[in-house]
Amino acid sequence: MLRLVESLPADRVRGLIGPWCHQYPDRGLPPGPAIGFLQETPRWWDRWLRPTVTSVAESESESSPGPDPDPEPDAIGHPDLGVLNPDLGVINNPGPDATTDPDPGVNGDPGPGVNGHPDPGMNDDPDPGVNNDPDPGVRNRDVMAQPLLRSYVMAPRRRRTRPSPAAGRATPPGPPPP
Amino acid sequence: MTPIAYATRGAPVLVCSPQHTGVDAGRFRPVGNDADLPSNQREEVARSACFEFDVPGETWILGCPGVLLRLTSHSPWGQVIARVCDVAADGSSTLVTRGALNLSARYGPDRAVSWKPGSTEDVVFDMTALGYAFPSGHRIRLSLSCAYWSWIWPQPGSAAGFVLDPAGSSLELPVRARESDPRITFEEPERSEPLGVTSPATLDEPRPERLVVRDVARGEWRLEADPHQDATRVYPDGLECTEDAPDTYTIDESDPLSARTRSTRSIRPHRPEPPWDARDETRSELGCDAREFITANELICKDGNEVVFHRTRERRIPRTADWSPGGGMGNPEEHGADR
Repeated sequence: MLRLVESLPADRVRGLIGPWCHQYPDRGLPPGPAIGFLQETPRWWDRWLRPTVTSVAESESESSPGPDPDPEPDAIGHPDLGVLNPDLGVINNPGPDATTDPDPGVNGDPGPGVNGHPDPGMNDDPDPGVNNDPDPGVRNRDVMAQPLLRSYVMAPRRRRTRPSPAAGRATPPGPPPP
Repeated sequence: MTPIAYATRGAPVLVCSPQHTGVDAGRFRPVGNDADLPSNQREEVARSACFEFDVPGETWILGCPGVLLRLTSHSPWGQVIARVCDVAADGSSTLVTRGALNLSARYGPDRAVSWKPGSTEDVVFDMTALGYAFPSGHRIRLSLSCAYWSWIWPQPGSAAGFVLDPAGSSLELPVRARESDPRITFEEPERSEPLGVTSPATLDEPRPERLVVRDVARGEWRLEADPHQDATRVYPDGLECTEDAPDTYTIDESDPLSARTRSTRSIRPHRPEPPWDARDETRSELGCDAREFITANELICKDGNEVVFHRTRERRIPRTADWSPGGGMGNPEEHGADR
């Protein structure tokens, strides 16, 4: 976990390390100490997943779909998927001409924008009936595809520096370290 | 945070640990049971090469400790395991952190490169990240072994171990300057109402959580692990569920190819009214030879006493991605590692 905290952007990651066993830290199992873990987690999720008052007001005033020229600083961007706002259920596609993820399962609908009506002929969604009910928390908006966020999180193992070979010690043959 | 290197000293030493080294490692995934955390490391010290460093003043660490080791091996394959302990004045020791390296992965986990027998190389690897404070007057002990069963499955031909040259080796600790910390506090745990599941007392004594059995003449060590967490549970709506999940890990002191495990699982949900009784039973065994892992699995599903599904399956899985001639891993028969 420290490798992730070291490698990911500082404003996007938070690590919590303690002496707990392999169970959630609110359970109070030995060696403890039990902490209010279930209070910490919604704070993080609220920060990143809840719609903000600002984002809902801005989206409702949009009259046409199109690229978002000034993505909100809080939005989680991905070069292939476009911009995923924290406002759940809304995917601001850059538009049909922009580069999108070629995998149809991810972002299959290059068509109508977020405030239009779904066109069944253009929708690659294999189960178009699933998302027809608007989320009551996201007023008057349809989910156009099966939202999917694919994230690859990798942190390289740290390479420690090696000393140069000591005089007199045979340098072993073999591939050099990468 | 400053990495501080503690250089080891002394003449080259042969590290040739018996295959049951690691018997006091504790549970790989501790869940709060009495036997989960590692016990006294006194006996593991006797199976390892150890180096000690004084702790004149209280020393705080936060991060990944690591080791740089100069090794000479006469086998193409092997592994090295490093452990750091906090040793008190009375000799008792607390296992602080540990790490392991498959020597074939010393150039990266994506490349399998066997060791050229007789050659000397420097290897580096990290140990598990942690925060810890070594009290003043204690000693830091670095223990190195060439085996750690059942956490690490031993490579073929690795029983001979390797020679460690302390002159080219060191332990690196991420030492932290202790300024005044911002106070980090958490609230008291807040949880929902418990479900009301009960565990009736049983007539039989539960099996011990972790039992080590040693066959002295054969040199065989067997670890019997039984998590027995609430073996029978009764739910508020009348559902009863009985589970059993023992594992055994067996190895002979001198033979890496003798390593084998056996896991059986049974789960039995049942209701008295309306009466139904379902049972799933599985048996999984894992062994090896020099080239392959050998797995056997069995699944039996029962409705009451009637078997409604039964399947067995055996598979052999190559031990490495690259056994091709001329591949990086060499040939176990050439080096006697298959015996």
